[in-house]
Amino acid sequence: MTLAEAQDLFAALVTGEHLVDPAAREAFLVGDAGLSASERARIYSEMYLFRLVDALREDYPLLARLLGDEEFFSLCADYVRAHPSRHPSLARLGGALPGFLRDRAAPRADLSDLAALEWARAEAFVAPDAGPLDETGLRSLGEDAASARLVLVPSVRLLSLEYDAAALWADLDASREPPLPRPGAASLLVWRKGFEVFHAEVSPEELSALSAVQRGATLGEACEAFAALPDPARAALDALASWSGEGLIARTDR
Amino acid sequence: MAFQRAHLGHGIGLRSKHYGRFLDERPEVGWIEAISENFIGVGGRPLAVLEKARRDFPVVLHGVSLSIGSVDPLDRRHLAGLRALADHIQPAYVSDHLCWGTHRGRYLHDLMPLPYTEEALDHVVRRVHQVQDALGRQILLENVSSYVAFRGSTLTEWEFVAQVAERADCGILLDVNNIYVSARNHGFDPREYLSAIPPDRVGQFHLAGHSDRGTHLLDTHDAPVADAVWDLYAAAVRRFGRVPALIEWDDHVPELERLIEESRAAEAVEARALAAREAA
Repeated sequence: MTLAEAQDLFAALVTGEHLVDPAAREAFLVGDAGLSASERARIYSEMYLFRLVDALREDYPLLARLLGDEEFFSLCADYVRAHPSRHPSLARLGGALPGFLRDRAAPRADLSDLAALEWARAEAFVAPDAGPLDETGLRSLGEDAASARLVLVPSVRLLSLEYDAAALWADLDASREPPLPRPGAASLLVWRKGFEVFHAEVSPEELSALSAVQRGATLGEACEAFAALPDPARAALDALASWSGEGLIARTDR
Repeated sequence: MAFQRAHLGHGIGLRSKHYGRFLDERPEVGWIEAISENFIGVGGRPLAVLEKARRDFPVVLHGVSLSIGSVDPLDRRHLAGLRALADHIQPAYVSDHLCWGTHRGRYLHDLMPLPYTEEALDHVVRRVHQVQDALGRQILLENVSSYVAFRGSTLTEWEFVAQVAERADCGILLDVNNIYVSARNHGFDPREYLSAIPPDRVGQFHLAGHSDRGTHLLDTHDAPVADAVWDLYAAAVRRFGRVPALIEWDDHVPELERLIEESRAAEAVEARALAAREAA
């Protein structure tokens, strides 16, 4: 048997995703009276799933609390079958879980939004460091402000949700009884300041302006998001002051 | 070529439970080992902790996802990230495991055992050369705990480990607990294992706790070092001399003081073993 064939067979035993003929397994692995070949293989298959679920629990502690151990384990087992890990770090395993929850019959309609918020926070916590640009840096743009491009700090995450996931997050985080799902569009901004991760609800206009900045629009283009408001210039200036104050801006690119 | 052993003394693994302590203080440890994958491409508090620890101590970068024995292509993006981290942190060593952990593009996130064959040996040796070229430095490979053995193996594990190190010109991170666990699970003599390992290739020891599951020992890293492993460590010191040794504790992680106490215990075992070696 070649090394490649051995790894195919062992991976099948570990993941349990392909049936392995017991005779092939016995011809492959050494078993003894104390521990048979199948029991030895099972040590690996059990550790495989437990390790992945533990990693997901680290990133989704509140989803795990809401669902309970059994339901969370079963969700994660289904998830890793559908989305095997493609990254050397276990911390990246859970990125597709919010989408997976959206497409699946879930016990609550707001699980996907809660997961999206938890994932954004987990990513923001370890996002690379940059900036932030202080107010003087921003003021120095002067007359050219409209044609300047802002670069946001890498921790910024923008979420358009269908449920009030922030309220659910707060109740679970404080170990309070979770409320029933509350439908209603919500725009959430997630970012890290220093070592601490924050999230806050912002107006749909501000979310859309931040999203344009993230896509590389000029400040003038991004602020078109405020055009329909009664005082667009005021709204844009307030937003800029808040972005600068919260350390969302890494630098300016002209 | 040869392998240059660093002189670090006794250290402990850096775990997130103790990040605050390493950030705010300078704990009484000799050196620390950080899991490479937790720090590649990241910023924020984890990176700040590692940078602060590096200012205070020698650091070893220890990986879990290199997958040196897999037939999958090497993950070049991962290697580039590891190189950038190593260039930034300037570790005493970069190490990973003598195993495989990727299959057809999927990370299994476990240390899968290799069949000990000439084909696997050639494959691993070729890949170690590629990794060392990509990183611009020698690496150390660690022997893993295992629960299965392959009928197709034609070499013993210790022959395989020794030949990889000699032919690929890399170092060996000898995990004393893993030798003990595998010896019990497969019924070989751990001292025969030690006697087959070339002393000038051994750059580091690992020490950790395991669990006795009745039918087998499990490498759980959730307990103090077992007495039988301390004995084997003493035998290893008598053979290999003064080698940097690290306490690993990954589950039910105790307070930092308890970890430091365990590394002091290792220091005492080493001192007694070195004295016995002198006397002999």
